[in-house]
Amino acid sequence: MTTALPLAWIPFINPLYSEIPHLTAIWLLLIIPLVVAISVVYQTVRRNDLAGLALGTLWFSIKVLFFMALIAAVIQLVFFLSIHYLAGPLN
Amino acid sequence: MASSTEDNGSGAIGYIALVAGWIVPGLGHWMVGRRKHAKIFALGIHGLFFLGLLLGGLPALNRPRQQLWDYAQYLTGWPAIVGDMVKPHYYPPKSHHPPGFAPLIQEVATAYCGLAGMLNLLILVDLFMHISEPAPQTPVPGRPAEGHQ
Repeated sequence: MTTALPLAWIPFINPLYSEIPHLTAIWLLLIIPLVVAISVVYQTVRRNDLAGLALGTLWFSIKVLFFMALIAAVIQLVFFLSIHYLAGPLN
Repeated sequence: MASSTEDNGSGAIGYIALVAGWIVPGLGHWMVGRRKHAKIFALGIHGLFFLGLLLGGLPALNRPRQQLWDYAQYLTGWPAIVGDMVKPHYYPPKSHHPPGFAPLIQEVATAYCGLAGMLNLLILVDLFMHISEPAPQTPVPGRPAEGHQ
């Protein structure tokens, strides 16, 4: 009888969730590095002089995150209202 | 110092820089002398792509039935090309999901790599705009030329 040995995790080859269970619990936080990376590149494209890039990136990231949260809240509100006033309570 | 090496890369070198900028993100701007921009672009694009690859591993690339993400990832250049070449050795077609499969994280990882490609497209458009500008040969009338006084 043979026993299958667990294979070692290789970064960039095997997914991180194979090594760290429950990574799904923090999936929403993964938007932060994404927004920061997009902000850095976008601000760099827009500027010839890179002085003030860090502050511009920070401010742009905050604005993007704020408006995404605002849109999410509006969608949640519309969903809530549609459930209660159009379809009736769930239970 | 960076501005002293900067030209707008017009002519053939500009178009070679465009291709180089696709293959290696940031290299195009480096070739036309925008060194500081090039470093930030290279760090940003490679960082985002490899963060996605760290999260989702090779299964984040060339997803079955998700060709649009695949095309977007190819815009990143060499990381996507090498990743697609290496993937079949570790994940043969129609292989099972990796252990502890987390579909949400897998989607996020795919999006990271795809968005890195889309950002590289934005950088290439910026490079194209830069090389398309005519190089200032003569001073503008009524305005002294900068750095030649």
